[in-house]
Amino acid sequence: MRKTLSFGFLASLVALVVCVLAGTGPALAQEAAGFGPAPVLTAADYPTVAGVNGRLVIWIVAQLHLWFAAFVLAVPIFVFIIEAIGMRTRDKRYDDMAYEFIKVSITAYSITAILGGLLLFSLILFYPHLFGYLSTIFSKSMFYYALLFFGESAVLYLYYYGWHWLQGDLRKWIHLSLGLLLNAIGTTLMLLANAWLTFMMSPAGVDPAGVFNGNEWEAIHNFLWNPINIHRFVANIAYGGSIVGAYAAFKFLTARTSQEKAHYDWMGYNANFIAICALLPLPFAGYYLAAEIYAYSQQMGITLMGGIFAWLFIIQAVLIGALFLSANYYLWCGMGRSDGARRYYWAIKYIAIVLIGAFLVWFTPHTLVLTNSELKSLGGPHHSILGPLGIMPAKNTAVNLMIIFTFLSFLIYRRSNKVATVSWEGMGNTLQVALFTAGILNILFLGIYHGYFTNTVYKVAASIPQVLTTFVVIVVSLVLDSFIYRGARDVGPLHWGRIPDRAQYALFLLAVAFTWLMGLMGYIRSGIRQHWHVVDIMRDNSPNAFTPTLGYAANVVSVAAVIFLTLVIFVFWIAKVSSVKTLPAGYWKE
Amino acid sequence: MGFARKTLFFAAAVAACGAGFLVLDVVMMNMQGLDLIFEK
Amino acid sequence: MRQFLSVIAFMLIVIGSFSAYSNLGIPQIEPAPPPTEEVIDLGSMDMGQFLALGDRIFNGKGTCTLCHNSLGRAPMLDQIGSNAQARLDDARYAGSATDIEGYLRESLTDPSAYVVAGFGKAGTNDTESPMPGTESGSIALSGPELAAVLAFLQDNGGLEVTVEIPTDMGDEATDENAAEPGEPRAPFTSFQDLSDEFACEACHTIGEEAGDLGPNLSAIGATRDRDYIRRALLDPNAEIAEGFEEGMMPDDLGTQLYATELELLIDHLSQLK
Repeated sequence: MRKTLSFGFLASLVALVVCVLAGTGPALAQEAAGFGPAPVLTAADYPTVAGVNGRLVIWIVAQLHLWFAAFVLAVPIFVFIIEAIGMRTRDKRYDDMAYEFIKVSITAYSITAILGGLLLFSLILFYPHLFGYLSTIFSKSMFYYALLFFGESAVLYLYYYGWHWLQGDLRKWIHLSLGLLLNAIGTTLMLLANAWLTFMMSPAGVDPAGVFNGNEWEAIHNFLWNPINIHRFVANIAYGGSIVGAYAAFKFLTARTSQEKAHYDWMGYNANFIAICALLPLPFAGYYLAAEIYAYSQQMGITLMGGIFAWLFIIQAVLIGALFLSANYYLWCGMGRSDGARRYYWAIKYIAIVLIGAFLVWFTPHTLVLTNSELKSLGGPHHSILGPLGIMPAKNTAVNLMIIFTFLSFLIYRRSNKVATVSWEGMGNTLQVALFTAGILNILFLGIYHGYFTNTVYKVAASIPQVLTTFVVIVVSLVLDSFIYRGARDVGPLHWGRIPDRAQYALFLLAVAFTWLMGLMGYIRSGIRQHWHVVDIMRDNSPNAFTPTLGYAANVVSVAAVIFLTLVIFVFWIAKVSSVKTLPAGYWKE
Repeated sequence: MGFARKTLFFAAAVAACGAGFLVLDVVMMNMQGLDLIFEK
Repeated sequence: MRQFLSVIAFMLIVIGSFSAYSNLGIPQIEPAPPPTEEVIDLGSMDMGQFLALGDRIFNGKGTCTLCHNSLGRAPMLDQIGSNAQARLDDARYAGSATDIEGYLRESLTDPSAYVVAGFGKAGTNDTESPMPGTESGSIALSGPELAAVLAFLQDNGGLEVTVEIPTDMGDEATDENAAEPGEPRAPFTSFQDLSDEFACEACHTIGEEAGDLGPNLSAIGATRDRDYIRRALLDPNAEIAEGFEEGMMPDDLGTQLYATELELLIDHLSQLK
């Protein structure tokens, strides 16, 4: 373990040195001479190293770096939350679970650093002029990034190695504060890296020729910076939860004792809970990002949603459908932990029907690029019956219904082991059903009326009350539920560990689908720049400037995902090995 | 509660919640400078 | 170990099925390669070819039709003829153009100089246009290309073409190989070449090609006779098919076509049944 840790330090040291040499050095020289325009490149300006395809290397390494970074940034966020819950409830199980999470992430942390270094080297080797240009603009933030990395490592080691040392009243508070500091630094690191990549999409602080005006904050605070920040922050939490969930699922499957099984079942449930909580707002963060891309450049927006990339959102719909279905499936299987769940089994099939129906609506393509013969056989650009399901209001309605019904699954799960004792239980239940009914009717009204009988402005505007309706239904029914079940009696003890093995596969599916989806969306985010390194400022003139087909992109993502999962398995295995002791009889002299 | 009263209570509750959501719709559309019901 | 292997197998199957769906479940579209600078030989160009160049840029490199199409994202440019003067006269007009050509040029180079009501960026109250400038950035038209688009827009909008073919490329123009200016072009001998040259299928559906701005001509011979077709080609606004706009079709084909070409068009169209 210690060896991999020093790797982390080494990697960040190397990253710092390289940054200073390659980035800040020329940048300082530039500053004296004033900034030049963005370099105009020819195919000869892109070195071939060892005969490999530079774009492919950057693509895969950047994706791997991002996956690990997302994981190691997310874990401290919910470790912090779980530790706080543990402190409040004084339930040591939470503290143990938080410690196990951070232990899993610590090897991943050094891999993240190594991959970051690898990405940096690859950029310098394969795209020296692009890196040079970016580093003249982001000289200061790159330098501080490297320094912050040291801070991050130091705090992380204190937080992890000091876990058992910093226990007890005041010490626990100090430990929790370290967790907060860790998150603050980690999030700052992410924000800086986000600025560099959003600058490439929506450059700011430069004139049309790419001459930098010297105001680095303007370049950082570019148009798409905050939309990406929000999207990534939320997505990271969902992602981290899903990976830890997969870890717990594997430990559950291989557990030998029922005690172990109970522990990892509980851990898997909590990780999944975190993942789903973060997954629910994610579609809206995504819409916000897409809307901002539109606002920044209509051209880019149409390339994103209406051009070649439109098909990609069909793939995305399939994956998100898989995420929602497997999350619900896991909840339904989990109801077996309670003896009282039998009362609710009848509801599951209806929820399943709605979810699949909503999924199919979401899956229905909008206007697609069709060949003439396809156009003819379809009788127009839209299908006569299914066409109306393809437009955005239908999809917004479907997403909102999916979220409401996923929430319903969760509500039922919460209730499954409880019997309410308040006198007005019947009335409260009726109220809750009424709330759901009215909410669903309102969502349908907004979606159908504004989607099909008004103009575009209304279609877009109606999505806001739709989302708020979903939000109100969730919040109000949670409040109502907590009152109905105040002082409720348990049906019996929860049987943690009493869950079929196949439910664990839902957790694996969740993790894999998340990983793959992130890879795919990363491709589209980067791909809408098309043949530009920095949109409209610095053109990509390499032989690899073309946009690949979606199938090719999907294959690259798959290969990267397999590499990632292999590394993750290694990380988990290492965490296990560190606690194994072999006693070699007669090896050491007595 | 008898069946008729139960149904009545449920209908009233749906109406009440529906009215609440309608207010939400109107306010949200108004904030965007639109009326809830579109007129050509 | 058995558990471990089955989990690995499960994950590989999931990833494999995602990949398989992306490769087999959806059509594989080969995206267009990045645009390259077109070599323009201005010296040898007559107005017809110049307009055709403008047409190609309008529909291709200029990416104009991404937004200027029937989906209502941006104003339709085939109505410039009836609208441009009104825009210039509008009290909101704050640009510096004094004639229609100037207005069109300004709209291409500085789109926010005047924004048609309802087409501004959201929240700017129609003071800022979502359109990118076409001289720089990702579109980056050269001077002659811009002129060709202007000429095309005037022609396409039913206006008199006032733009002149620039003689100066801005850099070394290769005049040696150019044909004599004013030398007549060779007549086209096939319908397809003619249709390509005059971009009939940008608006009309004729067999395989599908345009929807003009009437479908795939079976025009079944309902119309040769005289009707002749008149529709030479004087397109004399009678407008129901559901279509007046002034969309160029009305100067009579001066651009050779007699043999006109007869070839009529022959071909009247046989489409």
